[in-house]
Amino acid sequence: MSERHMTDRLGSPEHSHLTGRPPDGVVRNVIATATVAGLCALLVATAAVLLQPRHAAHLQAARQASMARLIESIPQLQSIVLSSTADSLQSRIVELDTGCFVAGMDADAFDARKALEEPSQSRELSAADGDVTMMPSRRAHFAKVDLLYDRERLQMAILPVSGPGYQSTLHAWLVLAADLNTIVALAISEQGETPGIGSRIENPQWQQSWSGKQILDENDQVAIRVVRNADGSPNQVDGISGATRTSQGVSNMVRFWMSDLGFGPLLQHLRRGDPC
Amino acid sequence: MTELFVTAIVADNLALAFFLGMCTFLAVSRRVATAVGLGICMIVVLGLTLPLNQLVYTHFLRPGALAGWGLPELDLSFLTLVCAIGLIAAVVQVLEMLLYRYVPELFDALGVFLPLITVNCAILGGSLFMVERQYTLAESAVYGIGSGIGWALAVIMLAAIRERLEFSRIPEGLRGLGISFIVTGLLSLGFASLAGAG
Amino acid sequence: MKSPASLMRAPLRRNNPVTVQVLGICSALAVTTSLTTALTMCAALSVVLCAASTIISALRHHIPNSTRLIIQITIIASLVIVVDLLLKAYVYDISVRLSVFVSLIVTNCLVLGRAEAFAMKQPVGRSLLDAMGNSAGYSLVLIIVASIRELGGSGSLMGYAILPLASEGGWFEPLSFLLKAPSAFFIIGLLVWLGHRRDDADSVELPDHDSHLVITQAQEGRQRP
Repeated sequence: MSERHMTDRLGSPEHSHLTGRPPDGVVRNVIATATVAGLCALLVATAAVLLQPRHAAHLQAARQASMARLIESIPQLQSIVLSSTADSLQSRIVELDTGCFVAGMDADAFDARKALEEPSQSRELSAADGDVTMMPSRRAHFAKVDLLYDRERLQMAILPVSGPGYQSTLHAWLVLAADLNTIVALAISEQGETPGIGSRIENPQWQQSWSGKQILDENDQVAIRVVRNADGSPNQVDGISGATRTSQGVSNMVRFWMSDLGFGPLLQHLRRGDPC
Repeated sequence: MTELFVTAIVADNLALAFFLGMCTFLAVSRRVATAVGLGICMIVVLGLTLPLNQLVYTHFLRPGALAGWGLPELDLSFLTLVCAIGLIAAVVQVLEMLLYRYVPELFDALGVFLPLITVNCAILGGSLFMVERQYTLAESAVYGIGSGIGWALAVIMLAAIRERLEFSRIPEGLRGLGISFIVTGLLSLGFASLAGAG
Repeated sequence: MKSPASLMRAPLRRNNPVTVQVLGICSALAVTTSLTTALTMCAALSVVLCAASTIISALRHHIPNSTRLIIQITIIASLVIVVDLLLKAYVYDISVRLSVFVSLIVTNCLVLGRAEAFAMKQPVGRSLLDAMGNSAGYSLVLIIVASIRELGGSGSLMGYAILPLASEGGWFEPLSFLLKAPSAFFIIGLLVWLGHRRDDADSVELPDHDSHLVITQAQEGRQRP
């Protein structure tokens, strides 16, 4: 560094030519600076306090609008969402393998069906992943989940699940309670099973029978399944008589999505309370 | 994470897609050497201030952040702006002192740019975007470094082109500022076409 | 010394803050996809600029030299927060679309630049006039750019359809390119050209590329690590 540059930098009084005033005393400096800071703080704080009610009203309206959009897109869940005390909704994109939320991806623009067809956004499941007869043939890398909050506390998670039935692909919403173990509801949103037989999975009574069931057993293993003549244990749902294969399809679908290949990693993060 | 990083560099480039730090961008892009110096400063300062601002926001300013102190209802998020800019100024100042004390060579090369960065809206914009998009600590570090690299890349490219342009025949009224805007527009077009990469 | 009238008039074209002084470009480009957001931004910036210039000019004999910039930034930041809070309270939808750009007025070189270069040295009245002139010059550019972009990009102005869109049975095929970032650079570049042509001899005043460098140098002289 040149010598001249050094002296410039080391605070020669020359800079005062900018305002044409002599350098100031320390006490005066401190008083003036503190006064300005105090007045500014007062101004900002007053504005914030006075306008707070209006801000809160806008935020509330925005939250309600997003809840209304959710209800509109999943009509089956209307009563559940409305009966909850949740006051806000977050739609997040999850990377399924890590169970981490993905920032910077627009949740509203995410199209799960399209992702499933896109080779770069999904992968084929093979025997290395487990029993291929019990799982879908492909799975996307990402999924969109809706999380309902009651004052910052997670209240409900709405997870999209899908898988092969007897003669069609089943699509459903699985709603989990705050413990992420108890099922609040299973809502079949799309199916093309044999009318009158397999299609009875759309029967409200049968869907109701999922409510209150538990995903995990005492050893924290995924134990939920559909069985014939359930014994009333919290991990068993009674199958539909005459529609064994479709019932089995629903069972496989839920089990797959609760496993490590599905939402398992996400649920573990959320249960531990350290979402990533 | 990789995706966030690449997007921050190209498609969501702070300078070319969000127009942030434009004043400095146009003023300091006349020589490649100066552009490189400023670019490096941007990467360092963005990489440092974003995670720091993230910590300040999540632990003090966020609604309910002070619940542990017995103030669960307090929402200080309206102070985000003041805190962010104060923190940026402080980081730049400390960085300047450290460089001056321990790596005077680097200080000679980069020192001139550091004060310029305090009033650069790309730095403040980065922090505000981080709050708006609710990045985690790790994400904000990745985003900070990525967007710093993106900004540096853009300013160096513009400087290289402008050095060449001095020898081109440009309509008189467009010389200087006018053509810089047009070139920046073309660069922005190029960067935008890389959206989806990564 | 310039007359009060020229203080107001010069920033409109010959010494326009955006196209000639290169100040406050970030926001000029980012919020101009629609006229509504651009007008809101102009209003926000004008309020902050006029208030900041007036306050700083009124306090100029009391502001210590060494903490000058911090004090200026504090005053500007407080005004920006208040304006931002007001926008959020009364025009919530627009404030959501403006995203972080209202907050970024703090680092808008235009405000700090006028405070440092003019308001610190001149009496209140002249500072206010200068601020009003610069606000008008800034608003003029924003309104021109936003009108071109909204009219060409979506066939409407302030959300009201002007050109019937082809998708709705009209004839106008919107140029969606105009809504993308690069187009803003091109439009401003062309405006610079246009402004230059018209003025010819008048604009011997060199484009003050480095007006904010003045601030930096001032700051630099002060800082001693």
